[in-house]
Amino acid sequence: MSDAYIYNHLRTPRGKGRPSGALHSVSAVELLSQTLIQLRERTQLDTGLVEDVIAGCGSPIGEQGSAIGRSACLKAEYALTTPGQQIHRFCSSGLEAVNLAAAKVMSKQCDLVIGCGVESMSRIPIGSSGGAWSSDPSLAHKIHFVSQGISADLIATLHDFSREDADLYALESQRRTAHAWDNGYFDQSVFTVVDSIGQPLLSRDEHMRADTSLEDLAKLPAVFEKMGADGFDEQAISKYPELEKINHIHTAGNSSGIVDGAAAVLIGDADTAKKLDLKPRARIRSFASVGTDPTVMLTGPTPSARKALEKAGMQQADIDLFELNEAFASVVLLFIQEMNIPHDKINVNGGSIAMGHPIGATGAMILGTVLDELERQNLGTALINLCVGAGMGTATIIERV
Amino acid sequence: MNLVTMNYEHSGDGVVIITIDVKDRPMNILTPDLHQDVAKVAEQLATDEKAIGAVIQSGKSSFVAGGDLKRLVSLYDLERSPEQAYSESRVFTEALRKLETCGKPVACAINGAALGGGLELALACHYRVVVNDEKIPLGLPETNVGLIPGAGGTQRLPRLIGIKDATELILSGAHISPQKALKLGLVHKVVNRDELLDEAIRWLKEEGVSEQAWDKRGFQIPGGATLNNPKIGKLWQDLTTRVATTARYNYPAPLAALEAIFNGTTVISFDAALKIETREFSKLTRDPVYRNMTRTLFLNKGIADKHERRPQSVEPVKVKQATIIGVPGEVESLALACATADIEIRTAGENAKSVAQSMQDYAAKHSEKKIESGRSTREKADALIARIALDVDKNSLAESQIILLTGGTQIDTLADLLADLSSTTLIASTTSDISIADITRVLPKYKNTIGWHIKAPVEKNTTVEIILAEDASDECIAMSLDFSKQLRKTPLIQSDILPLFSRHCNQAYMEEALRMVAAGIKPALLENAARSTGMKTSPLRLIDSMSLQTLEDQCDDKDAKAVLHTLHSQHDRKGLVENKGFYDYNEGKTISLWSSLNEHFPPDSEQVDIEVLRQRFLSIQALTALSYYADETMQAADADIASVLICGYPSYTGGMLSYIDTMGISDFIKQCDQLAVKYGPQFTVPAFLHELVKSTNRIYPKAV
Ligand SMILES: CC(C)(COP(=O)(O)OP(=O)(O)OC[C@H]1O[C@@H](n2cnc3c(N)ncnc32)[C@H](O)[C@@H]1OP(=O)(O)O)[C@@H](O)C(=O)NCCC(=O)NCCS
Repeated sequence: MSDAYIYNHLRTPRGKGRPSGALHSVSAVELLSQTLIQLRERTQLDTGLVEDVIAGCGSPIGEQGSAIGRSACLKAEYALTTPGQQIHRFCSSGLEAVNLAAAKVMSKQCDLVIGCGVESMSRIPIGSSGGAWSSDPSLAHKIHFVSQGISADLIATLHDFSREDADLYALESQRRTAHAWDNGYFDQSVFTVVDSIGQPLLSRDEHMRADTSLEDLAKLPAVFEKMGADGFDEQAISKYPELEKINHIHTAGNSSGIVDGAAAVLIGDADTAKKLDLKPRARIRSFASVGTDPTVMLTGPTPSARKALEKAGMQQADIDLFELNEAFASVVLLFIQEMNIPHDKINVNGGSIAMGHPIGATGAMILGTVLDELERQNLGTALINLCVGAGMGTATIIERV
Repeated sequence: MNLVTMNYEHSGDGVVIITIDVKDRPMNILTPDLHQDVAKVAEQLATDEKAIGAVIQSGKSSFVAGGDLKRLVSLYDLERSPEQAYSESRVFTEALRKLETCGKPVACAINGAALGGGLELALACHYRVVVNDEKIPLGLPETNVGLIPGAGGTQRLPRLIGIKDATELILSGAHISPQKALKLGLVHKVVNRDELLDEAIRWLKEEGVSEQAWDKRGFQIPGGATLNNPKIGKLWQDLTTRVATTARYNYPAPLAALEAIFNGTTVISFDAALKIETREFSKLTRDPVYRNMTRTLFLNKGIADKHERRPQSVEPVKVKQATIIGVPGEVESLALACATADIEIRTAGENAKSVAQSMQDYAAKHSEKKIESGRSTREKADALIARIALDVDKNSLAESQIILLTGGTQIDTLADLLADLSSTTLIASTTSDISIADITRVLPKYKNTIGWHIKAPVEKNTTVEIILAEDASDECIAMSLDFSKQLRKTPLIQSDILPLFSRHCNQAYMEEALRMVAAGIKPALLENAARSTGMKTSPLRLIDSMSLQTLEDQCDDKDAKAVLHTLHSQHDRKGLVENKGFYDYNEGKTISLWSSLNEHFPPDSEQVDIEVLRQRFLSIQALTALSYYADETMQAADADIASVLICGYPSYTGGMLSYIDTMGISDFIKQCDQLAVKYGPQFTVPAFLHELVKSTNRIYPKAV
């Protein structure tokens, strides 16, 4: 087996995922293509050496469909010999793309691979790809399908997280994000997306609200209450019958935002880095995906983290920083509680509650974010993970070299 | 051609008239003969050179009223293999497909009810015209008996009117009128009765086409289909959630309907779609749920309604006058139900004036509502109210054929009040506070004494429990049944040995819940367990709806008593009427379980598996019902109907005794033995059942 190293990574800023969002006029393939172009330029990459471009995507249909990894390569004028593909594991697609890229390198079947991800939620709304898990009666019925927001509220109910707990967490996410931007922590890895005639469209995350206060957050309506009343609560309770009702604590302010964006990570072995005169920044120590109960759905982070630790032969204490996607506040609160992680070791520069969660891209984005942070603080290891639709979790452990 | 259920006749100009007339049946129903005849006429029509097409009509006042329930019920006991059930279920589907693709146009002239397979037959025709009569019901009610349409209904209907409307009709089993059917696109035309045949023939001659839209290339389901369409994806998500939360994983038919429609509307080949439907349908015919629902709620309820136990020697009785005795709050809906059934109402006793007034007021209020919604007229309302006499002259009682005693009746005053009545007058207690023995004690002269128990509001509920003394005369039995029939209630008879069936079963159910509370089972968990069994009302809500104090007095179990005592006497939580019981209420509306329950009944750290709780709720009631069956207080069928229609026991079981029957007596004994070891002697199986299991493993005889 060979070691897989991260040479470099970068991402777009995240545009509001609605028609007024700054990136709405940019197609998904263009977002990813600009990301690949930037990567090529920054690393002086001979794209002929890239042996696969694996792209994660949350709604792989329409303009995001049909092996968008290959489409983006063609658009970015990578070497014609560079193949591209697409993978889908809901919210962890982007991290899974990195993991698969690493696996190809580790197994010595490739020397150089790009793991990336893209989502234009303003153009292809979340849930557009439908699918059997949520809509085929024979399956949705069997697994007590409910939508993610209900699962997040179910977690809160099962573990007694209050609205205030969630709002406090969200407030801190906003504060940390603003602090990170203000101090330039993100500058090196976020590039400016331009339009088709080269004019800049967006260079900073657009969804954040640095001025949010706890009072503002407290005023927001519980967004999943109605959906719950229409039947999902009942479905959740029939799976968790010790509950009398679901406590709906999640709002637009303490859930991840709907945004557009893309990210890419360049991964290869040690020899290729030498050949290309690139300095490996981190080694991928291990990765793991797990399945959990599909109804409560979002409890994959803890078991995926434990599994990745085990695969790496590491202890939790060996991890310097944790980066768990802030899909919903309760997901992070549960992980913190179950793993007993101090808050100042996790999501230290904020996360999706403030910046948004471009489903297919997020995994690749947060891996890059925490790598930059390890370097900034001169720390060694990080564990990155996400909760995943249909009851899964994906985790990756990296270590600086 | 040898046809048994229909006629095939040329009527000139190449028009063939096919008239369905199933012999020896008041209505056309789908028999195996009819299935075969459809295939035969389809073949004949295809090769009949003189025929340009056919009209299908009925020779009876209804069109075709659906399946033969008796035959359907017996299918389960045939223990068919999946292959056998599938191939037998294909017969009618294939016959209709043959008709639909015979190459000649077929019009359907619907003169009356077209339900279930009857409507499916119509849907396989190329043109449907219906008589404009709002009383004609059209619909696919199969899910109400635990089945789905199995002759193309789940496939043709969505292709005609779209997935959303079709699924709605199939899940609800609703009957719709011809006009509504026209609006939905289920039929092509609505005409006057005398134009029916002419219109069908006109279409045949002028417009007749012999190909269904769905057999044309490039056909699209109206409103879209398949998950490629996000709107349809959302629709399926909603429908699935709805089925899951209403059928609660107990009734397989609604889900089978969804699967048949979902999968069937995704395929392009209509023949593939029909196979998908047959698979789902045939699966259901091997599941006991349809058998249980059909046997109890249709076959046996039908028998109860027919009064098979009524002594034929007694002339039918029509009640013209009844006296209702009681107090305001207890009498009103009973009076309304009687008055609606053309009975003059009298009252008597100390508070007769206020009782009479209260009865009138209730009837007036009810009538106003009916007038408002167009279901009654001022004239009818006035006549109805006038039947409740305000004049409370004691002499006016003499004409009463029945005396109804309701809650609050001062029994000791009766002897005096009723002194002048004929000794054959029927005295009926409608309250558990007054037993037949009580009446006999104060009114020894009267021979015809019964219990006649129905839940309020009487005008709405359809089932009555009749308690008969062991030596009840033929006259008494006949009259109690005739009176029930006049009020259009299904009578369920028990003899006067055990307490009122429904009360006893409810009591067992509530006591079991109270034992659970006492043993530290979380109230939310046990409530959800009961709800997940399909019980109509969860036990703690049922308890709240009564007086906690009264219930405590009636409870046998000391743990159960203690729980009630804590609530009502220590914490002043007396029940729903005071907005405080196990739940907190606000003007009768549930807010949530009382937040201090945990404190007073600390939950056990280890909770019992929900499946065990489900077994406890269902079994404890079944054991109670069993005692009525064991000593012949009640017939199995009546106990089962009462279970579902009065006690709120879930209908998929077919009732408390069918629950045992479906499980098999030996397995039921095993289950109870295990429960008895862990949860108490209330689950002890009676000796009767141990005896019974030696000779048979079932309660009902095999249907084949
Ligand atoms: C929660 C959710 C439904 C909210 O969607 P939304 O209503 O479109 O959210 P918006 O960002 O537009 O916010 C709505 C309003 O809330 C308010 N708001 C949101 N965040 C706020 C904050 N931090 N402070 C103050 N107000 C805030 C604003 O008034 C905003 O309206 P405005 O921008 O028009 O003034 C959506 O973000 C969501 O579904 N997130 C989860 C996505 C998901 O499931 N991902 C997969 C995870 S497994």
